[in-house]
Amino acid sequence: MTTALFVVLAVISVVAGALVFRVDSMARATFLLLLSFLAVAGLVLMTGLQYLGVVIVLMMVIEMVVMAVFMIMYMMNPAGLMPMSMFHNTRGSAVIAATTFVALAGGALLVDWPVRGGAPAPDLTMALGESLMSGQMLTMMTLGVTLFATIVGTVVLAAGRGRYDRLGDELDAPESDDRDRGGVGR
Amino acid sequence: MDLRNALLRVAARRPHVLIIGGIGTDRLRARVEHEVDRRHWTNAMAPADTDVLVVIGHPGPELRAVVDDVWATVPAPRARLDVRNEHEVTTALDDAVTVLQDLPAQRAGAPRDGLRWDRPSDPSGAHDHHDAHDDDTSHEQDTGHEDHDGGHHHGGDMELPGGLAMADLGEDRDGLALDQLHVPLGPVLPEWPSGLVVDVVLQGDVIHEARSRFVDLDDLDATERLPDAARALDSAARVLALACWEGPSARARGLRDALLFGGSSTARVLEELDDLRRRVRRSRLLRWMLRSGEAGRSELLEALDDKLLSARAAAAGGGGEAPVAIDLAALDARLVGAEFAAARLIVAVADPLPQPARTRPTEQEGAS
Amino acid sequence: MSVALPLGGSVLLPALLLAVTWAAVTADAVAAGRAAGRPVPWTVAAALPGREALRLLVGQRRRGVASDELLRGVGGAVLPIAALLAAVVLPLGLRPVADLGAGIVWFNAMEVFAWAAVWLVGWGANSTLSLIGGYRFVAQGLAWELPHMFALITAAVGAQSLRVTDVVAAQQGLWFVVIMPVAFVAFLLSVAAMAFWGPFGAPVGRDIAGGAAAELGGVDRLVFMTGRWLLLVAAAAMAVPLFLGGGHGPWLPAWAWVLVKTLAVLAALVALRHRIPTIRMERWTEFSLVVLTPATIAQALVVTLVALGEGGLR
Repeated sequence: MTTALFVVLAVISVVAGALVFRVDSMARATFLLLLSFLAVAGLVLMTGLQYLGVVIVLMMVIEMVVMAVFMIMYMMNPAGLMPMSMFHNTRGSAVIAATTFVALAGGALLVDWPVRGGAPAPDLTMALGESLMSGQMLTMMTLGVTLFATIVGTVVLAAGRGRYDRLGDELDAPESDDRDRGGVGR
Repeated sequence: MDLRNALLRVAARRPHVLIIGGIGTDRLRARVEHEVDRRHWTNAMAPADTDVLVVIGHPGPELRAVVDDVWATVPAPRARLDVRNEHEVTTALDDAVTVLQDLPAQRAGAPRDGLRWDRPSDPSGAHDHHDAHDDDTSHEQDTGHEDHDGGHHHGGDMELPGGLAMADLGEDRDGLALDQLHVPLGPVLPEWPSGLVVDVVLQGDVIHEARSRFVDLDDLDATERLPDAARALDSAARVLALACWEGPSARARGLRDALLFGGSSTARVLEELDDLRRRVRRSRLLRWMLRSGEAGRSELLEALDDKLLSARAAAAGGGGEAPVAIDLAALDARLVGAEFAAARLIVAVADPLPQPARTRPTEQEGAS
Repeated sequence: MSVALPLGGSVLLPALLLAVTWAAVTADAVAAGRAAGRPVPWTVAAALPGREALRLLVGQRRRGVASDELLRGVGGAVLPIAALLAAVVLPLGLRPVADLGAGIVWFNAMEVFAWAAVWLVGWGANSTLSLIGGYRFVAQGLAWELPHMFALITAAVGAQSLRVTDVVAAQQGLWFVVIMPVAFVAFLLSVAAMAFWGPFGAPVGRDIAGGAAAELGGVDRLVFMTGRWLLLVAAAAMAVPLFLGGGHGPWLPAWAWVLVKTLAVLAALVALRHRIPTIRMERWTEFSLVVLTPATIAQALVVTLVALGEGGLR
């Protein structure tokens, strides 16, 4: 039963991943990738890491939808009217993909895996939290702040109009001259 | 078979009704809407959601083409009615139920090869007429707007599977190069002025260019208009419905019907009108929603309030000022740069009277 | 530690959800009639969900030129499935169908599928207005997701567990709504928003002729609309174990309390819906990110400090 489930999920994840490059619609490609990720999340769940598995589902759904929107954003051609090739730099990427696959698969098969010592913690979610937040607290905090700073920085760099454009150099304009108003403030 | 009949009968008990009419059908439309509401039926939002298609008045050739296109996309069981005057409304709707329940007729009449809608703009359906122009020149004498079709940039569009047009590229209001889609809005859209079509160029859901016109303007002089009070209420009801405030919208519509068809005393109508106006003015959320421009001012909300106020004045018997007729060029200018939801509200507030379209299409009004 | 319901529960769950949905649709019709000044009799309203469902069942399906039927179908089907899967962690009484250790995250993950579902339906129909609807939902989703997550986390912090039954157990004395009102309000708002319902109905709004659902006919429409109501009901029901003490309460058995509280939350949502207009995306997005998100973070911080003050982490 477990093996069958594993095989099914593994096949789905690989096949869906491969199909990403066979379909000619960006939407289908995106959601095939999502299917692949969901199968991987299923595999993670099978290891008993409930929290991680569910978080992968959560993040990947949001991520893929946002990605779909970004890929197709402002392209008001619903349902992928224009069949388009999903390939760029075909040869280079084929080489990279093959090399990575061989390296990873070879590693997985050839490494002399250690025998498990000890038993899993009774509450894996708790154990995960503790291992992340006790020993690696500083790492995680730095990581979080760095990621957040990256997001903010990207938005600042990408925004065409900042607050000084909207509200004047002293930020004292009573009203911005935005065309569309947000829900708060000026 | 019996079970199917029974199912059909239950399903037909509360049909969704889509009303299509050209210019000058406002009173008839109000009558049909009134009857639909009285029966606790529902007004359909789009052809897909329609059981009964009611064509009111005498649609001209362009609108008739649109109606045929819309009808082709209405799923069975379905009924199509032509209502030419107010006396026919009740019996026509009764007949519709009979038609909806008639299994053999529904089977025979169902679109066979699956329902197909065709261009991206579908709920309006007006685009097909453009095709008619392209394919069949004999159509061209019937309307006065060939210049639009000719001047419209279909050139350079790539032909795609299904005969669809590829979007072309252009600068948006922020200076980014984005896809542009040419879509006609109307004449079949919920809460849309009768007979109006706005040909827009969309980028995302922002309107880049707009050109409005009325379909089938031939008998403009014979066009019947609603009395001022009813017209103002009709327009206010549309604005409220587009703000998805269904209760007050239905109340405004009910007041319109009371003014048009009687049913309650003027004093009571005035009282309810005051009540409605108070609610609209007091809603902070509506103010927040409709706010635009400076210092919390809301042009839309003020326009809405004006409508209710003028409706009151007219209903009370005072002369009331005649509604300010907005011309189509001004409407087009307002629409450029507006986001879709805002654009719908702008059209509903403007509520233009039937008038000939601009003769010379001004290009690049969006570039300003 | 409580355990999951027997297998029978998994059959019971869809039936229960549908029954509550039926009640909610009925109440909505009655409230709509009252708001419109044209009262709908209870009998008519009670028959309404069934009649509408029948109408759509006998209705013909539609397909469009160059529409992506596969994606549209998947999107439509995902909506009710996501709602059902989200509901498996709902304690019906004191025991859910599946008492997952990360139940709160599971709930969150399942309802997020609505993002994909609505966007897919809007995209697949190959219609401009549908696509606008789909995009509106994603914009709305980006706005409600953060406050929603913080609201969920606040409840989890209060109970110091991601398990829904633990959250219920932690409210034996005091309901969480008392100590985390901001999170509760944010949660209720996002309940309506994730079901793109009521004030958050812009993705299927009247201005875009039904938006994402504009091109759906027949059974496709039925599945989509049912999924939407199921999502609303499942999410509203989740407010009960998270903030309203779950099955705890005097006199009545636990399942009855859960039912009563769920219906109360739904009644509040329905009543509120007919008092207010729909909120536009650009207004809501800014409010949600600038006001609601910081407010829910502050709420989470306060609750965390209280939890630490009361004896630290277990």
